[in-house]
Amino acid sequence: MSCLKIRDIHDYLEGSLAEERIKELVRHLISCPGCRRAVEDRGLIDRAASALAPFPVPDDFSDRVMARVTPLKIKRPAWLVVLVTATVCLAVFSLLLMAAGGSLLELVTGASHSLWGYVKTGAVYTAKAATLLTLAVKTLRPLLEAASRGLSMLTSIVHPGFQVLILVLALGIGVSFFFGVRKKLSLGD
Amino acid sequence: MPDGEPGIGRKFELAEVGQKIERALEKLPGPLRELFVWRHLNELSYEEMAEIKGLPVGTIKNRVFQAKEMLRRILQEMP
Repeated sequence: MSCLKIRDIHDYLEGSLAEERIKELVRHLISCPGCRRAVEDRGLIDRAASALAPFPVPDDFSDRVMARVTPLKIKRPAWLVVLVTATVCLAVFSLLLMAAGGSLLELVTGASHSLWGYVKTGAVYTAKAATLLTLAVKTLRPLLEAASRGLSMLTSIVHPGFQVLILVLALGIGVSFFFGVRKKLSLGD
Repeated sequence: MPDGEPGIGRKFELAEVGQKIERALEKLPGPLRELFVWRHLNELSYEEMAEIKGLPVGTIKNRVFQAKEMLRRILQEMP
């Protein structure tokens, strides 16, 4: 075994080395006076330092230390919070209902009726929305196709330089229109 | 590892080493001195020190070892 590293010496003195490693280290120390002296030196410093009186600390030391230690945060999963809240609400509601003379069976039947009503209304609205969307797509599709064809024809006929000019002009008109409208609105006209 | 210097144990007795450590501590950089004092005089564990400092335990250990090595060098240079 080669001579000890400083880290090994400190770990050995602190008793944080594995048993097998300690055996190797001790075998080496028997045959190496240099390493033995190095261990003795560090051990002497440890013993002498530990024999010193602890440094007095200010009265508020503990408070300051605790303030710097991050408080322990208990993480509660969101689903658990929702489940517990819903259960508590349901229990309170059931108790109130029973106190008012109702029964649990009525409550369950009423709740299922209400739920079924919401499902039916939701289904009707979803069907209407789907019909409207289909109609909008059918109406707008020919217009978009015509616009696309017109644009492609225009780009094939008009010189690229003119295309850039048209784009710049359109952008300028758009920006002027935007600022004009904004100014008009801000004046309150 | 052996450095050829005479051992501290041959130069000073334990009580004398203690007095010299007190003087040598003044020459240590503040952060290293603080950790050394916490560890050896106030007997805090590495885990406690790491929590207070918000640093990994390994880093704290390295700094304490570094402080001890500096102390040893200062003690060797003392008359």
